[in-house]
Amino acid sequence: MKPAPFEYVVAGSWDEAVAALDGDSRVLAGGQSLVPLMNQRLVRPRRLVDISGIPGLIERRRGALRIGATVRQAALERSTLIAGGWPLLRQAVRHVGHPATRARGTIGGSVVHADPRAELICALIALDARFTLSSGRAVHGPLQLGPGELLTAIEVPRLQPFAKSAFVAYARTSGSFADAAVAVVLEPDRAADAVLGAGRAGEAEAAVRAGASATDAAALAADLVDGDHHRALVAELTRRALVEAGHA
Amino acid sequence: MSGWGDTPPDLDRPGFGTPPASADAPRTTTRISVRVNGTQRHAEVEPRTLLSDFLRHDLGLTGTKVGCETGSCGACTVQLDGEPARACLTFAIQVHEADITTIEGLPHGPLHAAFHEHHALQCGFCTAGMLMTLDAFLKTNPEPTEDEVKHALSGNLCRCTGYAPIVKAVLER
Repeated sequence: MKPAPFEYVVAGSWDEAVAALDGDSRVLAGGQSLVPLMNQRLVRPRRLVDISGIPGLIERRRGALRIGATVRQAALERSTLIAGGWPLLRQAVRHVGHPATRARGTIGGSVVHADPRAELICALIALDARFTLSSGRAVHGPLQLGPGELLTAIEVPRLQPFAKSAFVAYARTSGSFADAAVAVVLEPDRAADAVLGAGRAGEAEAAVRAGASATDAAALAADLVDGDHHRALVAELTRRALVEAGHA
Repeated sequence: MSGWGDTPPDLDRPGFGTPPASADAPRTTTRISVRVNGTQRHAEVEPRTLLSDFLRHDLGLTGTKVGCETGSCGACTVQLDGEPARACLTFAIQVHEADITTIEGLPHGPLHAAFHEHHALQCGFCTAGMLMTLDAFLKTNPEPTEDEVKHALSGNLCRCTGYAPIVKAVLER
């Protein structure tokens, strides 16, 4: 088993990468989602544009967190800046794949591949992340890339003092895609509750702010998904996440 | 050419379940230079050559095993610049000027002895990947708990042992 032939182009900058892309090319970052698809020949690009050499940094800018799209997931897991200021990302990234895939996989690749069960996207939604694109556009909320547009960086606003967060997931085996997961961020005057694959649970967030119990708020979050099993999972995970983040 | 014969012929031909590659598909090769187990190696590779196939077919290093080729089983795990990585999810062309360690380059140590002692392998197919993953893990976590070991090994499948002897070998090495 090996991929169909393709042309390999290394991009040293975002401009070079955009210039090298045409209709039948794919971007290679960490390759941990793309290469399995290519090995099975479910994807057969004519050209592969490797952006993994474009430097990506984890840095604080005017209080906000800025992560370059090519930052490896393992770097996210080890960053003291993230552990100190945005621990939710560290909690979430530990559920992504395995140590060997996190050493190669990038945060930008995870976001752009946009698997509905991607844990990092769920955490970023709870954190109100903004996505910076190569075109100069910045997107807040669901990310849709236009032709020739690449994700270059992710910005996460500063959390208020005394903010607490929790990421709780249920997967059949460690490292598999989760059946359900919930990311919660509680700040003195803000509550965020993101459900894997379903987005923000606005009603549950309002209930938490109004002082509802974790169990009652969790029942509202479960309304985002279908099926008895899935609803039960989301309700229980939301309750646990709220309790872990300090909400009774 | 290796102990296992020539590089397998291209599968892009009728009867192999995939349509043939278009005639004008690019078939260029690129010269790469990579340090493998401390030795600088040079080779011509096609862009699509996987690192796992490069190690096995071009360099004859068949200690690295190829299981699923979709990143699920961990049998092909090697160390790329000191980090564990799936050789089947990396193209050889990407490791130009990198430093690779395979099971052949891992010095025999207490972990090998503990695997032997605790019967942490039966058929041995997963063992190379297990050891490469564990070697990288133990460098940063020399005294792991049982849970940490299980988490570290979550990406390496073993169908013989049931994992218990492997975890025990790591804890009692």
